[in-house]
Amino acid sequence: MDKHRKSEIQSVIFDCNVWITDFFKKESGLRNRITHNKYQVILTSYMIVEILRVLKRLSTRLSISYTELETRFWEICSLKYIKTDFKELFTESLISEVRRIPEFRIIAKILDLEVKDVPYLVAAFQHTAILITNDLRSLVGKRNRIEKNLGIKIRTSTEFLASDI
Amino acid sequence: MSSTQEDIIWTIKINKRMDEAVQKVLYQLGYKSKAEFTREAIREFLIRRKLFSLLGGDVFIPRSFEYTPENALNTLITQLEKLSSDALKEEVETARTEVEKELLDDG
Repeated sequence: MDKHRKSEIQSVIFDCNVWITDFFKKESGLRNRITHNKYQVILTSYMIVEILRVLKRLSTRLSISYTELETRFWEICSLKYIKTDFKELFTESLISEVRRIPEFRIIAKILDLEVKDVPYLVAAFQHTAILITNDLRSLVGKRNRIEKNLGIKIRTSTEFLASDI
Repeated sequence: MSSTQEDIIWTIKINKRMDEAVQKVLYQLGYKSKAEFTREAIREFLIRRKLFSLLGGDVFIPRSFEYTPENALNTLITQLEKLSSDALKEEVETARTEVEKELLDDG
């Protein structure tokens, strides 16, 4: 891939809720948009743990094996538009990410957010990614301040679909 | 590391062989002291234990896949379709809180 083409690719990050209730939905406008345009969806180790934990809980509800759902998820991670942001062993990468808890707490306090939202913001900042979330109470509600201070774009999935970014 | 009122000092008895083993790797790994090395090692151990409680063990990415990514996606979608949107949202909320509690609640 040449440098010019690479620069056209927009990175996006979905929060856990968007992955489960929107992207993994049968008729998903979001998935259709991502699939047919130049986007890469970033997944960090922390985001993956959240998704896997949801899948583990759902496997109990559905009375199916967690390993089956987990394996399907890792297979999905091979889609060409998904970029997993870890190079080492997964657990090592998670340890590195979670080691930043004191920084996460400071950022959460400054921006009046829940600590669990901060790994998403940090990843969005690192990858110059648009953060797609339907969390109106927290991230969406405070996005003006976040965008002004950190330059991170936060959109709901509906807004993202209606926009041309 | 400077001490604060919230800090607690441990005194741990270890045998000579372990002390020698720790001394040997300490500088190779770039730690400034045994205390720093010990704190880091315990933190890593706790994260592994917490991951075990969340997901039933360490995360291992399968080496070979049975499904193509597209087929895997369709299969997962079909499975999740059996649950209502509200049920999915509820599980997401609970799972996120659990992960936060296990991984982000302490240093």
